[in-house]
Amino acid sequence: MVPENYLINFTLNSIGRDLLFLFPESFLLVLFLVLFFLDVFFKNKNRFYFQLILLLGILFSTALNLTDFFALSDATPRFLFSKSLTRDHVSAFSKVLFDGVTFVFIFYQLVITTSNREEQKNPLPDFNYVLLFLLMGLHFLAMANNLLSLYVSLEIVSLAGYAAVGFGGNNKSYEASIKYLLFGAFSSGLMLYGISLIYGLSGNLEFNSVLNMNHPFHYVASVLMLSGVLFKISAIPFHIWAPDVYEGASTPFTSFLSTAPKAGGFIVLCRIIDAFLDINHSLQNTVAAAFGIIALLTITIGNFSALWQQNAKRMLAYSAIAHSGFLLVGIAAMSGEGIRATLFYLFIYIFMNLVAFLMVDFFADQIGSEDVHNFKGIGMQVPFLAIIFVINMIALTGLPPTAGFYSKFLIFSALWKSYTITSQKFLLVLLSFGLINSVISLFYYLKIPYLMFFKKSEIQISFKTNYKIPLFFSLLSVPVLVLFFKPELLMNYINYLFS
Amino acid sequence: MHSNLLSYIVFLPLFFALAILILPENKSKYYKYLNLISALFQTVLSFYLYFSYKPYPHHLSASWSINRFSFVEKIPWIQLDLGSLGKLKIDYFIGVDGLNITLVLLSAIVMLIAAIASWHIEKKLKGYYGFILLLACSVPGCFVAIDFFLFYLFFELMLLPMYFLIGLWGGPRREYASIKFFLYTLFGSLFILIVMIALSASVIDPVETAVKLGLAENAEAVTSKTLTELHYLLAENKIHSIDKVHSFNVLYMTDHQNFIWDSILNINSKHLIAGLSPRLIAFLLLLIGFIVKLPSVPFHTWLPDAHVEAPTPISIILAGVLLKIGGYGIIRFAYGIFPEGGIYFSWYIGFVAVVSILYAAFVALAMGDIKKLIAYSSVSHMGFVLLGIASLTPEGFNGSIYQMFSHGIIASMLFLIAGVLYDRSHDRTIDYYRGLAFKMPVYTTFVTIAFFASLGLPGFSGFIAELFVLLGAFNSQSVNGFLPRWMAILATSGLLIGAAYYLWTLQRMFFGKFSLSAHLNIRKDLLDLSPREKMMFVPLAVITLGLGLFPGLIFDVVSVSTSDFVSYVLNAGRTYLK
Repeated sequence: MVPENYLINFTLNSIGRDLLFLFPESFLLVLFLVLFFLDVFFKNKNRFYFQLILLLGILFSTALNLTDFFALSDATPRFLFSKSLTRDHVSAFSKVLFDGVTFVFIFYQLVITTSNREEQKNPLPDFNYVLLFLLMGLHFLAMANNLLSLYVSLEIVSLAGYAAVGFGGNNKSYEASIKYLLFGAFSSGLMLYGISLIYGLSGNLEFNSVLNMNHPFHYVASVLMLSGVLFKISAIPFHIWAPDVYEGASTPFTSFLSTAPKAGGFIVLCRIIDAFLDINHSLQNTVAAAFGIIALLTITIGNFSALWQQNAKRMLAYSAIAHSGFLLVGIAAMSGEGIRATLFYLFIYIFMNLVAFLMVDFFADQIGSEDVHNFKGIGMQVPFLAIIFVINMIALTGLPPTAGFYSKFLIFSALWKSYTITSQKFLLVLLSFGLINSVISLFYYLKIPYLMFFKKSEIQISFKTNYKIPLFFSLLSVPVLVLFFKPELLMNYINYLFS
Repeated sequence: MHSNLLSYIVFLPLFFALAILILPENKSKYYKYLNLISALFQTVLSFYLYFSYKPYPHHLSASWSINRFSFVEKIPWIQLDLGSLGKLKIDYFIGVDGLNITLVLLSAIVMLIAAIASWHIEKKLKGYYGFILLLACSVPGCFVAIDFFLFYLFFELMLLPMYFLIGLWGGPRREYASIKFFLYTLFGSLFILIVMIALSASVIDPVETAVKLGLAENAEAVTSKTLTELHYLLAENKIHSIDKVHSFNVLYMTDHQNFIWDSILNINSKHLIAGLSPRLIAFLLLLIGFIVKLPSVPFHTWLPDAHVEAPTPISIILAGVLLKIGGYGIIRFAYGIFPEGGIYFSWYIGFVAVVSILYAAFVALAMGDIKKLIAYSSVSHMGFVLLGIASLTPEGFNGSIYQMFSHGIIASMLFLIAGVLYDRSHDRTIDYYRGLAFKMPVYTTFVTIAFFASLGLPGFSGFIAELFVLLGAFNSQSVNGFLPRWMAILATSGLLIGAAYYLWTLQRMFFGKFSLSAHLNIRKDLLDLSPREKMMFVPLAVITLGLGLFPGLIFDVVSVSTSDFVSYVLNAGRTYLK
């Protein structure tokens, strides 16, 4: 019998020790405080320097996480705070990714954009605080290892997200913010209810109890719990918020919103599925079928809605929904290969979507409209940028010679292998519908390039561009091209991360 | 030089494309020279390839192995670790044998003609020549690739340049035509992609797997004994899936022993999809994917639109070489990998071919636009390629490959003819012209040569090609019983219709008293051919005449491979069907 105060002491000690491993997150907190006090003392003066400090801070945080990633070894503890957080390669890598996306987003706003819009050039300091919290939430989301820490981190991300969308500077963004809040609060309520049911049914909060459905009521609980995650990744039927929110938020922030939080959601989902696969359950086919149906609906509805859009941002929003569907195909494969393919896809998706949204922001800002029909003739005026845009659209469609091809190829290969193992007919249906949908997506992905190159512009636009803009976008497109010719660069890494 | 010859042929245009990209816009008058130099280099290298190619000695080895290829380059390119499912290996693997060497030569010749035909393109030169050079890389790439993945890559790489070339430099309805072209081809290529994924999941690289299992120290040490042992292990399902090295190598795909024991594309698989074995389904998917490209009825409707809207050089490339990728793909991939499909569906394929020949010929008869007429005649003539393949006789296969080459040359000439007329009057309506022979005698001479070559007059290449295809189709019933004789008879009557529409056009446009319709708005006088135009017509006419008189020029390099290929398809196909 161990004395009670010894146990408490031990727990306190371990908490104290574990706190040290939260250094990157603590740094974000410090950054927040520094910015906050600077703002208090130098009100409204030298905003540029605030942004610069934020940018450098994020860069430092990226570097921190990167060193953390390489320093990871078996010697350091894998779990923190009695297994509620995990410290593995996946979490460290995701954190690097999230910081990187944030860095690109802020860098674009501060250095690259030619926009004179107030909310982009000089965002309110409050936006920075919200953003930092969002990022911190994402960090915790990447490390979440049980349902409670998952819920808390997801809530941090969501709450900060609701607020951040409202900073778009117009009525549309306020409306989007409220919509996001309402839908988000609802799904978060569902999720919490689901978690409580799961806890009641299984007596623990581990990830592997989510889909371990041995009681009829557990099905309901699992569906409720997953609805929160599906909301974050904007899967059908929890997608309704996405187009409005993506359209309402400022475009650079949309580029962030459509990549980092979604990646967070998928990483959690991969963890849940991974835990589920470990227990090797007889329910595997049922779960695969459920995810398969959601994936099918998400791809199809996302694609067909995107077809009718005239607003470039809204079109990309629906395309992002369709991509969630493709990513879910990897989940529906219910195998280690499927999860790895999803991670590969996710990495490529982040780059493709960042470039797509940021370029739309750049073009729309110069033209003064987000309507695709006003993009006519751009290809003749700034051919280099337009070609980069075309490359990214091709990548989003999934055609060679871009890594978008591999991401789809690997996802469908994983699905095919699952089909050959389980011979479930619906996997074949999913495969063929997925492929048909890639063709359908071509209609809208090539719409903008088509207007850019094949049509003459009706209004005279003189593009303000400098050396920075083409350089920035080409650098962001490098992974999409290089990973086509050497996919093993990333794939071997993912194998190493997720083995 | 010798060992990397194919790579030079394929990738040379990319360097010129890079040079054009770097050259500033104000030097744009040099672009066409760069393009021409690239095409000339490619042609010279291709002729060198053709003359130094020696067909391998007959029956060198029983299976369809790498020994049958010359100028082979095989470099490991991508090695993806798939975790518990083993490894995925993609090679940069190219080579030529009798099936594709003539097509490499053809693509170089056609690209050269297209380079000369592009002389008067005026707008957006940088983009135009960039795309043309990209095509000049991807088309021969398609022909020489022996790795399925590599082939698919070149195949897809062709899509975008073609889409832009039609869509940006084409005629009034160019946007519609380019999108139609793009979607048809992409739909076709999706079918190919599905089969490719399925194959990569089913086929292993026996050499690499043997090395991984420790049966041999390295790839060089693998002997036929090791392979037998490996195939035994594979058939007994004794290889753990983590040790399997999946491959896209087409040669491995042609050997049924390399298919994983429980994969659904294994010949012993008991799966049935819609009442057919998965292998037959896969064959059908490949066939449809390539038939769209060929094109054959009922997937041909993109072709007339694309041709009518495309500028002359692009029409030449499209009809001259791009369609041949369809025919080549059917032979190498559909028949090569799933030989039993060719036997099982031979009647249907023959039927589609005959319908294609007759239907397209009848439609051509009714066309008022000379370019549309030529486009439909292309569909009709490509039907012969399909018919020859369906007959599964050495004569038919030889005829098919001959027809691909011959049609590439003749179609280039025909589209040049339409282009010459369009340059002068901007109208191609047949009824608007009469008696052109008096105004443009040299032009009329070449038109007559091209028309007669195309309708199959003895002495021209088209005659030999169609003769052999029909021989194969006629023999099929008595030799292997795949095609009934009435198909051959109907196909022969297609020649008759061909003669009808060509002679009728000749009579309407070129004979009689010279007169032009009032609808025509002729900017320049109807001048006869310029020296530049003659430079394109003369070599093409010489080639078609030369091939008509000396068929050995093609048959000598082709026939060994085709007869072996046909006997492989028949033997393997009959065994697999059991």
